[in-house]
Amino acid sequence: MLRTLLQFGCVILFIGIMTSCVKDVDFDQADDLLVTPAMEISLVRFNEPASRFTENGQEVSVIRDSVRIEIFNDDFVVDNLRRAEFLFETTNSIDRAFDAEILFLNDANELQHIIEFGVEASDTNQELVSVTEEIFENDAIAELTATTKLLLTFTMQDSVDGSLLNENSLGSLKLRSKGSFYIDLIRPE
Amino acid sequence: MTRISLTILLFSCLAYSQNKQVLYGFDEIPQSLLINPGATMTNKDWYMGIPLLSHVHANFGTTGVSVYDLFADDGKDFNQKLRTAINGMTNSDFFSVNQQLEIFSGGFSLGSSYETDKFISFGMYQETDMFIYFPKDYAVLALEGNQSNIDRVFDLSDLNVSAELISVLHVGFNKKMNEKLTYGIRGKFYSSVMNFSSIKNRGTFVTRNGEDNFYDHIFDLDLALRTSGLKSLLDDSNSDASNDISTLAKRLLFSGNVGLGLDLGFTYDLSDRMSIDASLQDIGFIFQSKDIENYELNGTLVFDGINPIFPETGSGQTAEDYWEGVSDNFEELFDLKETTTQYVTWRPIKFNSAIRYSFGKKVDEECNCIAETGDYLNAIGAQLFAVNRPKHPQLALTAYYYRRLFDQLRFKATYTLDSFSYKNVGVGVSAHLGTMNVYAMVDNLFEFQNLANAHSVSLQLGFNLIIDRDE
Repeated sequence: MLRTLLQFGCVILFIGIMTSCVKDVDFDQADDLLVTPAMEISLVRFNEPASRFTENGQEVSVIRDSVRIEIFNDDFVVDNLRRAEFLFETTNSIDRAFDAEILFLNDANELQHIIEFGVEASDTNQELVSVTEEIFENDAIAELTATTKLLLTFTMQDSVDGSLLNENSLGSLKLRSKGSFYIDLIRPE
Repeated sequence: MTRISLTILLFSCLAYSQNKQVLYGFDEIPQSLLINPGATMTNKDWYMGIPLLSHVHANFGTTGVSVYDLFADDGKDFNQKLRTAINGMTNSDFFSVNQQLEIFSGGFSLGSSYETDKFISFGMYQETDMFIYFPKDYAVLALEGNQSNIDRVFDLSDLNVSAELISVLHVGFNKKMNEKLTYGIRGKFYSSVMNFSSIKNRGTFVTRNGEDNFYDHIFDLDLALRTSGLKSLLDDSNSDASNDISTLAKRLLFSGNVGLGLDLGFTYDLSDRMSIDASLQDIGFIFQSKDIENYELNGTLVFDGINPIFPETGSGQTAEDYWEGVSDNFEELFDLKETTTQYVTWRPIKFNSAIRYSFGKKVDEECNCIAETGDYLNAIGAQLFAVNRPKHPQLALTAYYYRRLFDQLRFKATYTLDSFSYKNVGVGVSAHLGTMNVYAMVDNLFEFQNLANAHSVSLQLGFNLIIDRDE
C-alpha cells in the first residue's frame, strides 16, 4: 500500500515537473552588470573678508592651508572611479586680483596634480564670479586617487595704484567647490 | 526508488506558498488543523503523519520583478532591464520566502464511545520565514547617485528586512460543541534557531543646493539591525559547516530563545449546506535573549564642505584641524554601535476565513435515487487570507470548487487574487487508500509554463496514516 501511494505521489510530481519548464534564461548576463552612479559632493569652501588679508595694520598677501581628504584614496574609489570633475567658483568683491593654486599631494607630500587659476580684482566692489573646471580622466585618475591632501594657496597681487588694504577695506573673497564623481561599478571577477 | 523519489520530492518542495489556500478547509487532511484548529474532524479516530514527510511546504513570492524579467535570454541589454526593474518597483514591493517541514505529527479523538466530540492533535515542525521589502531609495541612490537627485529625500526606512528560523512544538484541542459549532485552540512553544530583523529604520539623506557651498549634504540616520543566534555561528573559529549544522539542529529542540503562541479557530454550520469558518494563527512572540548582537546607527549631520582656516592670519586652527572635526563627526555618525540588548519578536499573525456551500449528494446505484444520508459531493466557497507584515498586511481572496471523486479521492481547485498575481489557479488532490493518505497541491498553475517568470508558486505534499472512526 505504501508503495502504491509513493508511486501515486511520484506520478503527480512527475507530471508537475514535466509540464513545468523554465524558458530561456541566461544568468551569465549578470557578468554585464554595470552600475554608474554619479555623486556630487561639496569640497572646500571659505568666505574671507578683505580684513583677513591684513594683520596688525600690515597687508598679508598669502593665505595658505592644507586639507586632508581621504575619500579619493578609498579602495572603492581607487577601483571604480572613471571620471571626476572639480568645479571651483570664486566670488570676489575685493579690489585686488588673486592667484589661486591648489596642490594635490600624497601622504609623502609628493605633488600629484596642480590646479591654478586667477581671480580678477573688483574695482567697484561688485561681486565678480569666475568658475574653473578641472577634469580627471584616464591616466589623470591615478593622480587623483593617490591624493590624500590638498594644499590651497591664495596669493594677493599688488594693487595697481599702490594702495594697501586695511581693517576697513570693503569686499570679500569667497570660494565654493564641488566634485562630481562618476563611478563605473562592474561585477567583481 | 525511495531515495530518488525522496530527493525529487524534497527538491520539488523547496519550490514555493505562504497562503495555503488549497489546504485550508480541506478537512480530510489532518494538516488543515494547523491552519484552523477549529476545523471539523468529522470521523477521524486517529492519525499519524509519516515523520518528515507529513507536510512539506515552501513558498517563494515576489510582487516585483521575476527572474525572467531580469535574466530572459531576449537579447535586451541587462543593465537596461535592471534599471527598468528598479524603476518599476516601489518600496511596498516585497520578496518573501516561507518554508515548513513537519518533523512529526499525530492526533486522536476523545470522548464517550457513542460520541467522540474531542480531538487532540500535536506535533513539531520547523519553519523559515523571510520577508524583504524592496529598498527602493537605497537602490536608486546606488544606481544613479545623488547627481540627478538633488533635493530628492532618500527615505532610509525603505530598508525593511526580517528573517527567522524556528521550530514549533504544538498541541491542539478541537471540540465539537453541538451539531453546528466546532471550535479549536492550539498552544505553541517556539524555539528560535536564528533571527534577524531590521524593520524599524528611520531617517533620510538629501543633497540640497547650499548657500555657503554648492551643496548641503544632510544626514539624519536612525537605523537598527537586531540579530539573535547569528553571533556564535559567525564568530566561531571552525570553518566546518557540519559543526554549525549540528549546532543548529540542537537549537531546533531548545535554543534558549523561546516564545509562546496560540492558534484559534471555529467552524459553524449555518445550515445543512452552508458553513462559515475562521482562524487566527501564530498569535505569539519570541523572547530573544541569548546570543544577541544588535547594531545601531544614529545621528544627524549637515556637511557642506571643508572650511580652511588659513592659520597665518588668524586663529591657530588649520583646515586639517577643521577636517579632523568634520571627520570625527562623520565617524561618529557612521559609527556602528553594538549592543546585546534583549528583544521581542512577534510572529506574523495569519487570518483565514471561509464561507462554504455544499451541494449534490451521491446517487445510490441500487435504487437509482439520491442518498438520504451522507455528505455532499460538491462544495463551492470563498476564502479570505491575511498575514500581518511590517508595513501592510498581505491579503488574498480565493474562490474554490471542491469535489469528492469516488470515496478515495478529494479534489479542490482554487482561484486566488493576491499581491503576486490576479490569475492564480491552484489544484489539490487528497487520496485515501485504506489507512494511507497522500495529498499534493500546487498553485499558480499557469506560471508552471515558465517558472522563471513566476511571481509565486506553491507546491505542498505529505503522507499520513489515518484511521477513520468507523473502520
